[in-house]
Amino acid sequence: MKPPKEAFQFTRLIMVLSSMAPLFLLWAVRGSSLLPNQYFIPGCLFMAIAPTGLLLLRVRAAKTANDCQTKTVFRADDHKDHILVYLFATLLPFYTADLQNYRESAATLLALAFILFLFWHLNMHYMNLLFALQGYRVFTVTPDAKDAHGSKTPFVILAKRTALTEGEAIETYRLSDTVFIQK
Amino acid sequence: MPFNFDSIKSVEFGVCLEGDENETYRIVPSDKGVQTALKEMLEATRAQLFRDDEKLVEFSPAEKYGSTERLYLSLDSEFVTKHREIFATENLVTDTHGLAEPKHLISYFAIFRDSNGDKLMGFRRAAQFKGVIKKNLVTFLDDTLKIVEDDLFKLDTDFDYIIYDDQVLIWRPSGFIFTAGMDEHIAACAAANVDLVSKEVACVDFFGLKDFVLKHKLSMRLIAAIKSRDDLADISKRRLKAECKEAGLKISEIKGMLSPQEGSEYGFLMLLDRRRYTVTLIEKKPETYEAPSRHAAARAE
Repeated sequence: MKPPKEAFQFTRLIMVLSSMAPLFLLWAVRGSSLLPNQYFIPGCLFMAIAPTGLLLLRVRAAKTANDCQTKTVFRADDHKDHILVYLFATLLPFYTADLQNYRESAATLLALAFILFLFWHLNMHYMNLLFALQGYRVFTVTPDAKDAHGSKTPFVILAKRTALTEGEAIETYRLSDTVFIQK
Repeated sequence: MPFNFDSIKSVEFGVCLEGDENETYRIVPSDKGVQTALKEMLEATRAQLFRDDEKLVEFSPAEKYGSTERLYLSLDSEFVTKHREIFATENLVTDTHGLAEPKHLISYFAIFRDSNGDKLMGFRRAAQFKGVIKKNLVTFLDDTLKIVEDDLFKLDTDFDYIIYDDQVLIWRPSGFIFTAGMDEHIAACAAANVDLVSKEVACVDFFGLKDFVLKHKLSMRLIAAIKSRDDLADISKRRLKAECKEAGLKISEIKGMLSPQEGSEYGFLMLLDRRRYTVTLIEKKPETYEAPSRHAAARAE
C-alpha cells in the first residue's frame, strides 16, 4: 500500500506564500526604482494580503465543515525557535536585498522561489506571523512509534498553550494533513 | 467513564484498506453531513442492540448466527486482538484519497468521542461501498434524469459492530467475523488451542484429535469455543462416557484416557461444546441432534 498522497498541494503553497507576508510588506515600504510605486506597492500588498486571506479562508472552511481530528500527544516540542529562525535567518537577507537593478531583483526572486519550494516541500507552512499574532504556539508532536496502526510521521499542532502534556487528546481543526489548529 | 451517547463531541470517518502485506487504517476527512449520517448509523445500531431490554449473549466462534444478533465480547478476548489494537491506536494517517480505489476497501469505520473524551468506534464491512459504484445512478437536477458520472459511495444505515468501554457489541456477526479475520486467527491458534484444552480435560487423549482439528475449519472453530470455556476441568469422565454412548459416538479408552474413534471426532467436539444432544421420547428410540446454533435455557427448579 502506497503512502497517502498529501492533500492541499496548492493551498499549502499559498500558505507558504502567506508566511512571506512580512517580507512583501517591508518591500512595499522600501520600494524599488525598477517599478513605479503605483504598481510596486499594490503588488507587494497583494502578495502580503491575498495568500493570508486564502489561509484564513482555509481555517474558516475547516471550521464550517467541522473538519476535526482528535490528536493524541506522545511527545511534543515547542518550536518557537522555528519562527525566530524563519523571521530573522531566512527572511533577513531578503529584507536587505537590493531591488534597484534587474539582475539583483531576478536573483532575489529566484532565491525566494527556492525558499518557497523548500518550505512547501518540508511542510513548513505553519510558519506564519499571523498565527503568532493570534497567540498560537507551534508544537511538533511525535506519534508513538510502537503504535501498530498509527501514523509515524510527526505533525504540527498550533495551540494557545504553553505546553502539551504526554497522553493528552486535543481536538483540532485540520489545516492540512500535517498541520492542525487547536479547536 | 462509560461512553455517553448523548454528548458526542466529534466524529471522524475512516477506511480499512487491503495492503500488500497488512491492512491499513486511514482517516478520510469528512464534512458535517457525513458526520451526521454516521451519528444516525450509531443511533440505529444502538437502538437495535438494546431493543426491548433483551440481554446480549456472549459471542462464540462455533455458533451459527443469523444475519443480525445481539452479541457481546470483552475487548480482552483473543478473538478481537486486531480490534483491540485498532481501538488503542491514536493519530491514524490522514488520507483524503482513501476512497480512490474502492476495490481495496475492506471496511469503513467511524470514531466518536464524547464530551469526556471517551472513544467509541463503529465498523461496517464495505459491501455497499464497493457495489454502488458499479450501478448507474440518476439524478433530477433540472427536472430531467441524468446519469451521475462521479464515483458515489453509499453509507449503510447501521454498523456491523461497535467497540467502546472495553467491549465489542455485535449486531451483524458475519461482518464482525469477516473484518476481525477470525478464521485466520483461529486457524493459526488451532494447534495451541488443542494443547490448552488437553491440559484442562485430563480424561481425554487429544493426540489423534489434533490432526483432525488441523484439517477441518469447523473443528478449529469448535476447539476455539471449547478453549474459551471456564469449566473444562470439571468435566466428569463417567458423564462424558455416558453422553458419548447416548449420542451414538464411538470412543476408545486406552490407559484410562478417552478418545473418539474415526468418524466420531467431529461429533465428540460438538458434544464437548454442548452442541450434540440426544432426546429419547420414544422407548428404545433415541434421537440425536446437532445444534449449530443454541442458547442456554432456564431450568425449572
